[in-house]
Amino acid sequence: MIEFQCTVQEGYVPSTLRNELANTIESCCLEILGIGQGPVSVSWVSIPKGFGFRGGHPSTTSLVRGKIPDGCDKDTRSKLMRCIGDEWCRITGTKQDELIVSARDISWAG
Amino acid sequence: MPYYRCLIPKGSLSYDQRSEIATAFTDVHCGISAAPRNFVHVAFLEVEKGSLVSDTHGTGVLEYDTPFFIAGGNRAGRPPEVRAQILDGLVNRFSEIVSVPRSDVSGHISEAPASWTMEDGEILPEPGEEPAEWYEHDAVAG
Repeated sequence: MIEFQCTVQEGYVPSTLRNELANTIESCCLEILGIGQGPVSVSWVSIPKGFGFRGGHPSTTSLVRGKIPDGCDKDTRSKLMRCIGDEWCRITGTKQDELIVSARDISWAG
Repeated sequence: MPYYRCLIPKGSLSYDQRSEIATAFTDVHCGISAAPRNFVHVAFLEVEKGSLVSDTHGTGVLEYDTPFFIAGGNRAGRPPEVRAQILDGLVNRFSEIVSVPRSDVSGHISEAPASWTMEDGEILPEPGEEPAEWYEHDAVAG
C-alpha cells in the first residue's frame, strides 16, 4: 500500500489538474518501486488563502507527502521523489522551489 | 521542512494573528536550529473540537485535549532537548500572540530522516550538514 497526500495552497494548483497529478504520482510509484508495491492512493488538502505561510510570508508551496513500503534504499527513494517533483512541475507549471516531496517508510513512528 | 500545523477552532484567529504566529514560529525555529527562514512552513487548520490530526512525519494520528494544538514535523537528528526547546518556544509564542493561557496550547513534534524529503529540487541534508548555499534561500521571499 502506498499513500500520498497533496497539500496545496488555494488558487495555486487548479483542481482540474488533480486527476492528472494523481495518475502521475501513481505511475512514478509503480515504475520506480514496482507494481507489486501498489495500490496507490492520493488524497488532497487545500489550505485557504491566508492560512499558509513560508518564512513568515504567504505561501505558494505545495507539499506532496507519501508513505511507501519499508525498506526502500536511498537511491530509489530519491529517484521516486525526483520523478514526482519533475512531473508535478511539468504539469502545473510551478517551479521546484514551490514544491516539497517526501516519501517516508509507512511504519515510521516519527 | 520544518512544517508546523496549527489546529485551531474555527474563526478563532485573525489573519494578523496567523501572520504574526507564522513569523514568530520562524524566529523560534531558526533561532534554535539555524535553518534557513525560507524553509519554515506554517499552516493553520480550522477544526472541530476533539478532532484528530494525522502525523505528517510518523504513523497514525495525534490526539490532544487543548483548544489549540501545534503539530510539527522536522528533520531527525537533533538531540531530544533541542526538539523540546523548539516546541516550548512555539507554545509560548502562540499563547502570547493569541492571549490565551499556556495550558490552552499543546503540541508535538515528529521527526523523519532528512533524506526522505526533497525541497526546492534537492534532497535535504542532515541537521548540521547544510551547505553554505542553503542559506541563499533566505534571499528568496515567498
